[in-house]
Amino acid sequence: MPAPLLAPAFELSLSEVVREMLVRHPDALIVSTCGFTSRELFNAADRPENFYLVGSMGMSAPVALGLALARPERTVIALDGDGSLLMNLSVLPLVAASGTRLLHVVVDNGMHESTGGSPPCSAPTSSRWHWRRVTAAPSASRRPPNSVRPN
Amino acid sequence: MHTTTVGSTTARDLLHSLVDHGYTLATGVPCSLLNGAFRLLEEPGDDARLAGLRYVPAPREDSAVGIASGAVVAGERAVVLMQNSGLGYRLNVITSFNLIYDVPVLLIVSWRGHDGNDAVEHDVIGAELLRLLDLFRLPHTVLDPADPAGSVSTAIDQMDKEQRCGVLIVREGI
Repeated sequence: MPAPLLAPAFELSLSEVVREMLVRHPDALIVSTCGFTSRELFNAADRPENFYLVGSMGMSAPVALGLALARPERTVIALDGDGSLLMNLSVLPLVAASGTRLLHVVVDNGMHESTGGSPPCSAPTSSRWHWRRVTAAPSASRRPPNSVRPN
Repeated sequence: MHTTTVGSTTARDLLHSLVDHGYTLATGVPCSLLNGAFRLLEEPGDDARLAGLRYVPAPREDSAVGIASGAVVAGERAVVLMQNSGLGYRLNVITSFNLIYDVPVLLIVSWRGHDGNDAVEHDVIGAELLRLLDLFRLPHTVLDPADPAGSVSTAIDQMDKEQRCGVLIVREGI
């Protein structure tokens, strides 16, 4: 039997996640996925260590992985959304097997917000439901929506 | 049908040449035409020259281009090995990442279906490979199995000159 699916204890907005991430990892190299995610990172702190992907949806984790392999002394973060991660789920085993300490932050709002809020998977089942099912399995990326929590 | 395999010597010379040009990271998705190269990347054995070429297998070609691109952004030289069937997957990354951020990555691409006498799934992309590369102005050169080092140098020179992803096409199995 799969583990019971627990609702998140509280909700975090994208801007809250980004601000907290910058507080916790002020020196990190950050590769952000396209759309609102990159805009939110830009608005929070436009810094040389940010790499905003304006296209290449699903590529923030692979690009961040290349950086992490080349710069193992640096903290590298892939800032992803649920839509962009669902577009390239194969990055999960790729990153997990890489031997790097890449931090893969996935902000799950259950929609493609930048293009109008459509669900990544067919309604009425939201992608959040899928996430909790997916992340109920042992993996390197448990509970991606809550990977950054306020202190 | 597969073309004649020219042997792993060509693959070894090709990889050595990449190392000589400062390449430190290889990634990609296997192809039977590139089998010798992938075997060496996976198990370099006591080949000290290959020890400096880290290999990261990728699930799909677009992710492989993404990994190599991240390494290039960090100042490394990185190469992607793949089959031409992966051109579609990787094309989005090349057009919406590499060609807008000016991040050239070397691509070693097998040419399945080049003579119209391969498995049917390679017919369409095989017939159009060069036209597709030309359409996006990606410089390309076909590997000369008798001179892999020369072919690698040509591909890298083209890429450095154009500052666009360079493609070294492998027509015969290595």
